[in-house]
Amino acid sequence: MNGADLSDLAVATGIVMGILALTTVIYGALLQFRPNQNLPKIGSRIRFLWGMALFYLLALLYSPKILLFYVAFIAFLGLKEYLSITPTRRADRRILFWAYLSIPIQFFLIGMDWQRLFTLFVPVHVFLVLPVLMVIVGETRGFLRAWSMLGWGILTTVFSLGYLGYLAVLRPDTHGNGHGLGLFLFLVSLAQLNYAAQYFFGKRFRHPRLSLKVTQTRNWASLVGSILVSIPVAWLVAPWMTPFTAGQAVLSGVLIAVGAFIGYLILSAIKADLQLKDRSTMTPGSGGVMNRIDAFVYTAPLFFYIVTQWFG
Amino acid sequence: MRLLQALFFLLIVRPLIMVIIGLNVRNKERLPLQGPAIVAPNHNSHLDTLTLLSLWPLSVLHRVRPVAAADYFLRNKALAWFSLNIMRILPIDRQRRDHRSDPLAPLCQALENQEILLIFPEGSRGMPEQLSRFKTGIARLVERNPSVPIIPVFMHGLGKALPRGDFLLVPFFADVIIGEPIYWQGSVQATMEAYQEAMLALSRQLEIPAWE
Repeated sequence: MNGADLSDLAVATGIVMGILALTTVIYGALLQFRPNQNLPKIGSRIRFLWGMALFYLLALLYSPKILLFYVAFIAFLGLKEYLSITPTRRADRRILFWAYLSIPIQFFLIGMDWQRLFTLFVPVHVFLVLPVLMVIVGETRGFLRAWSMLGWGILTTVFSLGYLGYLAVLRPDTHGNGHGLGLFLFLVSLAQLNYAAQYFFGKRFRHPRLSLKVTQTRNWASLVGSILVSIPVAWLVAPWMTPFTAGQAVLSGVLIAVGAFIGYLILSAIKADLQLKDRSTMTPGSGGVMNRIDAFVYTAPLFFYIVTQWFG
Repeated sequence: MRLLQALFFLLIVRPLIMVIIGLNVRNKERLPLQGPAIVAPNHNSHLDTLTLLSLWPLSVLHRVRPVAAADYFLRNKALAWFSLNIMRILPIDRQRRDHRSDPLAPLCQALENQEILLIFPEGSRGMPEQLSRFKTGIARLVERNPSVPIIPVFMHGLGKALPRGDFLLVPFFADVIIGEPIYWQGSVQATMEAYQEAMLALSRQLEIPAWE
């Protein structure tokens, strides 16, 4: 098996865009004709995916690096939202500026394809550089809490989305197999598919429950159901997007299902902890960006690790 | 000049406010698009005026007049040119050296010209992200022009992004909530109380994370 080439990828892209367009039309029609039905609020998610689709197409036509700008921008929005809704210390205002600088640095490393430095940079920045800057500022009250919150904010946004960006620019391996954009498309499509499947199965089957404090819409049935959907779809689409064998496709399908589920739950727990009101209609700045990236927080790093393990 | 102002807001201010800061505006439909009206927000940052002005359509922008301290914004030639021509401020004399003149006269004149006044009743930017005591100028204005509404606006976040005495902008999302118009209440004190009440109610609509 020699994996997908560019023409396969073009076909796959067309089909995925078609599904996105169909979803947009159906959702719009439902809003129009069944406005009082309890529809999931996915309007902003659909817009977000169209933005991604646009940059993905440009990347396909010109250079995968174009996608880096979009993913970096989403990382910036994510970190900005996180810092806007978590308590921060007045004394750390300038430290936050240095935290933001991790985004251009991280994505520059991706653009240069310096994988080792890319892997090292966020841990070094979070655990070694930022605390030094913080002690120079010199405020000790709330030091540990402020440092931890800042670090995990960078990890859930810059670090995880860095892997999503890196997938897009991965180069074909020594056998000429694979194409980074195909891996990117594979991950994004499957992550969104699993998001939808988990919503659907959680609504359809009410049990076995998870903690209602974390989520009212997801349960163990969501996870099992989405894995059962994810495996055949991954197996079906992998030859059009990836250099995977059937076994690798199935394993990726399971991994993305589990990862999307965990990412959703963890970000739900964060939002619940921050007591953000009305978690269904969130605008960017008050939880909206977190809602968009929850599917990638776990899936992107894990998927990147196994892909580079198989084809590194 | 109108073109220069429109270009400045279109090409510089809006991208900065929309992308680097990021606004959550609530009840935007309450923003008055025609004068005479008084828009009265809280004041934490130099970004306040730019942010508010970026909410108006470019075609209306030249009718919005931020009321600002002459001694601060006219302190040198370049700043004065920018303040008067691009920001279109109405300079007022904070020191009131000349007691015979009426300090509110130019503002009443502007209201008569159907302009929208942007007045920060806190007077100056104060401590970041805290409400200071309101000055009564807006009430005295509507005492003379009872048909003119005061629109209370509560903003949060810009004082974190660019507080007083700092030049380094750190991105934070900002909230802007526009309230219902308030009219002359029969006395300066009652009008100010209504305004204060409205501002507190608006601020309670936000969940403001700690910033100690």
